[in-house]
Amino acid sequence: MFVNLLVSGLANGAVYALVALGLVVVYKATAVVNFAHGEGFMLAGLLAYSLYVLAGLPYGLALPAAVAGACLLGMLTERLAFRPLIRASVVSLVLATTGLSFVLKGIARQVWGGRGSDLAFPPVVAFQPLQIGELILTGQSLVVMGGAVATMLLFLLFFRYTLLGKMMRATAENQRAAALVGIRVERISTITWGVGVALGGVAAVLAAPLTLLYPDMGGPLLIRAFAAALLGGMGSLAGAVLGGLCLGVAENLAGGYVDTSVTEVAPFFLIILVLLLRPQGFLGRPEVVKV
Amino acid sequence: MGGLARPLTLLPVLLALAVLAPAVLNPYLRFVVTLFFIYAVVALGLNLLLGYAGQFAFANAAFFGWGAYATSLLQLRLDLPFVLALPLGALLTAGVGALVGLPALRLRGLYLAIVTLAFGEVTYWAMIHWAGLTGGASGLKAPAPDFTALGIPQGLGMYYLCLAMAVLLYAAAWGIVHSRVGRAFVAVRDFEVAAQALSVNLTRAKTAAFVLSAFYAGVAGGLHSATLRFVAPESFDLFQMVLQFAMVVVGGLGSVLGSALGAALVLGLRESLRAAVATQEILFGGLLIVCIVFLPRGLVSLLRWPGSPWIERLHWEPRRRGREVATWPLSP
Amino acid sequence: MATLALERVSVSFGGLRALTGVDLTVAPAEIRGLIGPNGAGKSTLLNVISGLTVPQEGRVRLGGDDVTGLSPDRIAALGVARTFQGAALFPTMTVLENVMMGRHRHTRTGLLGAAVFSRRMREEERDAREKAEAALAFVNMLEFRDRLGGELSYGQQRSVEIARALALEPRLLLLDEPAAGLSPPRVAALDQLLQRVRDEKGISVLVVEHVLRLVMEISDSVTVLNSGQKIAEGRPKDVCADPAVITAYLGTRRRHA
Repeated sequence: MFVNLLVSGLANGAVYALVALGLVVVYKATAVVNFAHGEGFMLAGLLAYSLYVLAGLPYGLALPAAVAGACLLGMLTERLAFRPLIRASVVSLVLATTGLSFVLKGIARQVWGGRGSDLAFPPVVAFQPLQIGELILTGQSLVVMGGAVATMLLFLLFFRYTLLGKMMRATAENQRAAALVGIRVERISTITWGVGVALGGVAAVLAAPLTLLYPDMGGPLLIRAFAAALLGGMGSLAGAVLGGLCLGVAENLAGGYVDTSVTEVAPFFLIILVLLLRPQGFLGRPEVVKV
Repeated sequence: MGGLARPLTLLPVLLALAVLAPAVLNPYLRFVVTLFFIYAVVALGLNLLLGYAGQFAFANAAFFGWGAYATSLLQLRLDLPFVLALPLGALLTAGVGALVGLPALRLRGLYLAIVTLAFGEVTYWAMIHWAGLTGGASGLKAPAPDFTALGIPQGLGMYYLCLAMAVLLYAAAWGIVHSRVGRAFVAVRDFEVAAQALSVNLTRAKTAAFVLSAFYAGVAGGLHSATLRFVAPESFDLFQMVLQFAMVVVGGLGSVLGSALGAALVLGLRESLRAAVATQEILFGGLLIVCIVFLPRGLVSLLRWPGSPWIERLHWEPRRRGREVATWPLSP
Repeated sequence: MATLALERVSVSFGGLRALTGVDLTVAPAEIRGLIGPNGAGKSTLLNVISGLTVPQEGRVRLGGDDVTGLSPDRIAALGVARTFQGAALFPTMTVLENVMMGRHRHTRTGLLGAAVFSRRMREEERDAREKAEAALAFVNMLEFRDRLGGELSYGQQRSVEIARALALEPRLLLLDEPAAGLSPPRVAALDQLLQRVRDEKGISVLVVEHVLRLVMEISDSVTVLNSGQKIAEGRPKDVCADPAVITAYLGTRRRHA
């Protein structure tokens, strides 16, 4: 049982890791957390459902389109709820993105139906579960883990080696200096939000067949992304991934050995513990605040 | 001082209206106005914490719930009368507020928001899963004080009880924000280090703000359960928090009157539309964004023409993002 | 007894020594100048005195009482007021409310008292307002009492900040670069103000300055820091002539020029 819990925990954790990665990318660039980040995940999942199940588009077309939708949503968020408040307090920004999360939830409820009618996404791969000893691997969990790893690698390469990635890093590092060397920081900021929410979108389309889709699914995901990001130190991309995997496994083990309802609250307790005991996370570095 | 005296010309009129209103209100409208008194109190508590002391917490909906459940359970389980259960429930909630305030001593801005969000969700989860105590997702039938023994109809009794509590708690808040305690709140919000250098004890000021907002939410929660005669978790979820945020932002952060204005507007919209959940989410989420972007000082800032009947020193500076952006979660 | 006595105070930040074994004594009603080149440790020293930085070694004494390691609010409550580099008024409070914050130490009203408009609250408010107005009058800023802190010019904010510190009725006033960014007439007014603080109120003043002129004109004595160490101390005239000061202080200035 332990090995199975561990592996399915890793599959969940890979999803959390992707969502947390998106959250941290935006946080590093703008020092703001998008409280509507979970709704990007939710909308990408529902969009994929509409395109693939309802409109009958091929898988290879429906999923990228859903991710592109999430990307667009991220860029719109930047323009509507971040840009006008760029000089306002953190309080205003969190309130604005919280408001946005409810607007998006309401739209999703309007379009895809209310509580209770959760949508099921059919499995994408149809091969038999693999059995290795007592370990049972379903095709979908392999797809999730493989897809998540591939996405992270792609993102890493993009972030490290492409010009756009380098400009994003430079802007996150020092906005004034980036502007001085001719980077159009406003455009980069828009793209960063797009990329961040799109990462959550990838997680959603990968995880869609493993879970039910419903308008309220964004909130729990946001909390898990917070927990993962905090565990990793909030400012660290590698930390967010590691934090996501740890959270997935911890949650599954708690659910398996203690009680399934504990799965729901595990991330909350994790957040409270991390913030009170080691606010800099595993990989975060303390920054000196000057008076 | 003009700032203290001016609203006093308006207040007697409003008060007289509130006292006489039941004569012309039908039972439904009377119920709505009763709810308004309750929400005006919660919003005021949140405003003291967020608008004045600048502590950004997501815990207020949970405090509201703590007050509602505590007041009901004290009557159901311990057979306490309502007159004891309401203040005890509020004090219990204030105690919880002090505990939730502890992280605020170390965490700032965003991090405090996240940890209190987690607290709110844990509370909500416990309301649903600790069914033996709370009745689970379907909730509890809450007892209410019996006004018929005094010869007053039940609904009318609740109306006057809520009105009296609201008046008392607004007066108390007015005193607090015009005292050294309220000034210390604003000082802590604007510049912690300078506040400390003026002998303000940060621990005490922040804890006081949390205790205060939890107490207000606790009283309001107790009144809410007695007015509805019912308590259920769904009244205290994240959407409730968004409603409360919308109230203080629309009315005006850092303003006593703004809390009541915002509560009236949000509740009025909600009751007059009686819309589906989806529409409400879009409406109030959107209202929150629009107000933050276009009216960051809230409705109360529109009441500032010369000779306006309401002069209140507004302690809110929405366009400033200086010392607060430290990405490091700990206080220096 | 000395108003302030630092005994062999050392501070380091992650291996970087900011202060090394600094002794400093400030007498009652004395204006003490604290000068030194950038990075000499002047601001760190002020932070040690006001409790923002806890020294790894050494003691801080106020009128004989050991206050080492006390929190900044406790130290303020013991009668140490300070100003900050740059303007540090509370921007949404009026000038009067800002200065009334200085009375925090002298008032006791709590949540409950304020909530019921207790007699003590009303008396304390009246008293605080009167004292704050007196402090504003002392710095010639009374006419601005109802303006918002954030609306004032930089120089005006500095004056109000000093009034706020004076309203605390401190025995020791710490000023962090009060003349920085002020026009010459304002610096002259500051000169006079600080002398009146000493002569009329009997308050000890410790002024950190990067610019020499103000310090040399008004200080009773001057302490010079360089690289976290005290290199000279004495009357302004003598310190100016000290070869060690000239090399440390003027030497670095020449390099910058």
